[in-house]
Amino acid sequence: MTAKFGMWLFLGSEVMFFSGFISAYIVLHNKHEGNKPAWKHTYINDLAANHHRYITEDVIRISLTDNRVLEGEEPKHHEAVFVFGQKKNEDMERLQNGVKIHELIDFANGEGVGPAGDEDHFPGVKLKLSEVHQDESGHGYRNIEVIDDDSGKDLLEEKVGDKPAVSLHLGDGLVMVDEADGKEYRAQSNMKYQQTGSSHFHHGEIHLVERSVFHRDSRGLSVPLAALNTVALILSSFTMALAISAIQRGDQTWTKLYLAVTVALACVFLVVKTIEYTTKFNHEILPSTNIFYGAYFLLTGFHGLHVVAGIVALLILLLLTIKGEFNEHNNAAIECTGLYWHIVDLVWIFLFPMLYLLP
Amino acid sequence: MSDEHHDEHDHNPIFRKVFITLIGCTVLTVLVSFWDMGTAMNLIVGILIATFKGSLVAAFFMHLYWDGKIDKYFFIIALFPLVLFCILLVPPLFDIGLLSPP
Repeated sequence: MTAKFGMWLFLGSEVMFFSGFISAYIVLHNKHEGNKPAWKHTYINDLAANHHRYITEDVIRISLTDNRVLEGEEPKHHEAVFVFGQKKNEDMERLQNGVKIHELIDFANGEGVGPAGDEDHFPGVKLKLSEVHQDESGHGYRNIEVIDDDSGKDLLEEKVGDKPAVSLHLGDGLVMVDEADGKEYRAQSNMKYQQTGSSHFHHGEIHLVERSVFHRDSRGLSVPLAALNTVALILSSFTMALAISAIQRGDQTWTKLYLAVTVALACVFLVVKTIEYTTKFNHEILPSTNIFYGAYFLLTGFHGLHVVAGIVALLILLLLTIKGEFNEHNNAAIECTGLYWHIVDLVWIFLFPMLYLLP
Repeated sequence: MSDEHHDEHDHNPIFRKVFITLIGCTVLTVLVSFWDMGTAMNLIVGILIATFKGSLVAAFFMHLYWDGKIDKYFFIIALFPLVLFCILLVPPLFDIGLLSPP
């Protein structure tokens, strides 16, 4: 009982140690994404009536509704997927009034259209995405205009009867890549609508949040390798539990076997982790690279040290079991080391989704 | 070590079931991560699945399910700092608006 009390006390401090790290990581992760240069994406459309939810990644899905139709005809809907990051820097223009044009997309020839290639193009118009200077509150604005090839006017501002000539819809959950600086922006779901007089059209706003290095760099980590490590640690926890059961039955043969398998799986974990670290170092990615990799190396490094300590303890137990030191009456050391090993597994169970899977 | 005497051999089938459940939950964690529900929701779902997995490890692999009351008290004491940190996490998450209603 004394040994177990001591072990639980130690595990309590371990839980405190890692929960401190994990909590700090979550706060950093979220606060970093919250510290945007809070871009506001403004446009005029009938979002409330035609709001579509699209979950997209690195692409923006745009729907345009052409209301310039003969009476009695249904408005024409056009939809396209654009990969903004594919545009080249030289395509950008800077206008004299300080408006920077990021994209000038020709719907007619499908310029900027994503890999699907089967989008319904909108002939005779260009989509202009522009950025203007930040206002006093520090918010920047990006405006979308739909420019008619013939008249050069913004069709979003033109009216056909009581409707705008063209309605524009952007997918919620869209992700944009700014070609100028490579930064990613993600739309927050809290849209705001503003009624404009008696018209049913709305001024819509999407707040674009700059995606943090946490999002960008966590995608650079290998999920398959981390998943393999998760399976290895869970399996090792399983074999450890079987080893304790075996020694409590007095079965030293199976105890030795299970302990050896546990050590082998722990070594697999370390080898995979070494491969991950080596890949990063080869790409000159170090803990000092940025705050995400600082947190990544700190968390996985300390966890890795616990795995190494566990392997040493398990090897000592294996040697002592081979010497016949343990039996069904004397097995406190194996049970306490088992508790430690399960906590090492438990910590990884939390680290895996936090580091590798959180968007 | 345990306060109650029991046949540990009987636990092995349960260990196997727990192991399979843990692997299944790992697959589920990866699958859910492809579904972008927003940072806060993905975080909450990820933590919920991880907590379920952790509870299985603690209850069965660490024998808390079968052990005496004293072991459970030890575990609750060990969990206290984790709960404390989770509570501490709430204000920053709300302050930055990730969990604020649309």
